[in-house]
Amino acid sequence: MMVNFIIRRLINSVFLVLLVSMIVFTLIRMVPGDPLSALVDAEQQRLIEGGGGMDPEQAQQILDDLRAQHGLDLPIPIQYAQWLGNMIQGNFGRSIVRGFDIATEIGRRMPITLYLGLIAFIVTNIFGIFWGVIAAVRNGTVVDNVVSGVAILGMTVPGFLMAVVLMYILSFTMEWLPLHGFNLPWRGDIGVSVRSTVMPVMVMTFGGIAGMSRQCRSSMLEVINADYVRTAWAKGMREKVVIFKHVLKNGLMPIVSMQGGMIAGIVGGSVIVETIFNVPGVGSLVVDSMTQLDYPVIQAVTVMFTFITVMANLVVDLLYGWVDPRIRHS
Amino acid sequence: MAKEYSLKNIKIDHEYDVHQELALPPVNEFKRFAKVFFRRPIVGVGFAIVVLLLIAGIFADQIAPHDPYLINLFNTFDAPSARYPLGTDAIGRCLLSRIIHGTRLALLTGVSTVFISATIGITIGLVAGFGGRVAQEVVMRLTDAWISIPAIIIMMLLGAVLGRGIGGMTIAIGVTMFPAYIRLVFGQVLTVKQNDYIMASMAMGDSKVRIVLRHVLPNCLAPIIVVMTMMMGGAVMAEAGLSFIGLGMDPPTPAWGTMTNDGRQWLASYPHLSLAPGAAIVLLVFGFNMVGDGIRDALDPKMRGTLN
Repeated sequence: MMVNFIIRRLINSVFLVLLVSMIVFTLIRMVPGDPLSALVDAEQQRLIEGGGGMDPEQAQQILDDLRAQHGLDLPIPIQYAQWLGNMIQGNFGRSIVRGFDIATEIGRRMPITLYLGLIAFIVTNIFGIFWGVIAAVRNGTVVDNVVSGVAILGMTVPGFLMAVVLMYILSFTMEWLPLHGFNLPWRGDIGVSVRSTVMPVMVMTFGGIAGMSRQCRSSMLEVINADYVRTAWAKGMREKVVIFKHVLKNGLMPIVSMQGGMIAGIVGGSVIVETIFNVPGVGSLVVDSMTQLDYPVIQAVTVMFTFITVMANLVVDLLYGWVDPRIRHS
Repeated sequence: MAKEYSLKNIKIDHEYDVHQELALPPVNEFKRFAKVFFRRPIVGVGFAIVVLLLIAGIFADQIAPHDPYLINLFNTFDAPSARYPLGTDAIGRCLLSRIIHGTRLALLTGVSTVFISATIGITIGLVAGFGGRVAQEVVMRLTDAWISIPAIIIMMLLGAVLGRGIGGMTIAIGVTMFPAYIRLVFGQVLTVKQNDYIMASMAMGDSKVRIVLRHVLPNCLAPIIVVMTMMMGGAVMAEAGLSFIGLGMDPPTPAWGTMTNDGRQWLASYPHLSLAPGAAIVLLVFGFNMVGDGIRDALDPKMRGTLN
């Protein structure tokens, strides 16, 4: 049964990723402008500054040649079929504008994005659940009010603004943390790496912690007032047993279903965070490629991002069925 | 209060000796709504902020002390003064005027984005809910696909396709946000469909369109309104985020996100250039969120009658 379910979901996921790649492939070719004509224009500009310059027909000829070389002169469905065939064989292609091999580039950048994302994921869960549980257990006290107030703030302040404020306080005023850049701890100085992790992770987690602690607080409160918990208290069980065995176990159920959305949020958030902090990850690659309209890079990264989101959702659904026996998949 | 519940209101029907129900005074729906809405002071604060920003946005031309686009290179980085209440930016434009004109943009984005996404989402949700199995399956699969692409990538792509003005950005953000409404309306339709009055209405030979408009849509309205207000803040944040990374509104449009990013270069010496427009974003998003909270409480049937 379980194996069946997983296989069906995997097949669904494959179709989903295909559909997404089709949407992106078409959309990106509808963007006005063309990465190659920008290249040719830049070359023309360089030649003119050097006192020379191509005549327009020659420039057009070069442009046509380039388009043919990258297969951009073919109808979109055929381009898509070619691209898909290459993707399936593991050939991500080359960047049109900058010429690098996309698979190598993503392989170099992906660990950074995954590393930061994983830390953000763990931090969000730990703090979100911790503060949510505390606020619920101490319902109506100062602690509860403070947690709820900060949570409202967390849902109100956009990530990029949080980044600017943190940069101002921690980098400029206090001079504690580096402003830009990031490297993995095993690829350089560990101290520098840890210090440059702090701000991006804070920005990536603040909103998530706020949302999660709110959700956690309300679902815990629901459970705390449930009949079986009152019974547990009435039986004279110790506080620890009641809270951990009865309240936490049931109250954290909705938190599991939140994980999928949270992972999508972290993946999407990496785009903005990496751009602000100049982190050489996949997120900043997307933004660079978008400004240069580097078709194959955007396609490859979107497919990767979608794949990660879809797989994360699958794992979450499986976990949910495992945690909550009432929702065994039929 | 006590007077209304006195015996005067209980009419005893002597013929059958049956007590009629307490004749409660009719409830003014609007008053009831306002009472629950303003129950929490923080919601009142949020409401006041939204109203103030609305006024600032509508009358931006009259309120703003200067032209938001007017460059004055002899007057850059001016400190806040009576003439320039928030000082001037790197090319001598009045910061306050730019923020006030940005209010109009932010409000326009927030409101029109939500209306676009609600219209698309509600229509598709209703069609899917009343369509056959094939229609349902197709709509749900497409929605799944749409949700799986990180929203920011769709926004960047659509923004590039449609152009980086207010129209393009609004559509780009609106189109990424509609799946939430589909799920909401679809679920609601499936629930409402089970009711006997739908069966009765079908038995009477009502058309599907009539059933949808007369019975289903009014039943979904309360949660839809709540989601719409909640999403306004999200839309404002999304637009500001895109403008911040340079993929939103084109300069020199006074978009808050763009201004926050422009000011970032001078964060060390003139932090207010970046933080003031940022604070405006926070204020508006806070206002929208609080109003959304208040509306949710006020439309919640569980709250009905508790505060008469």
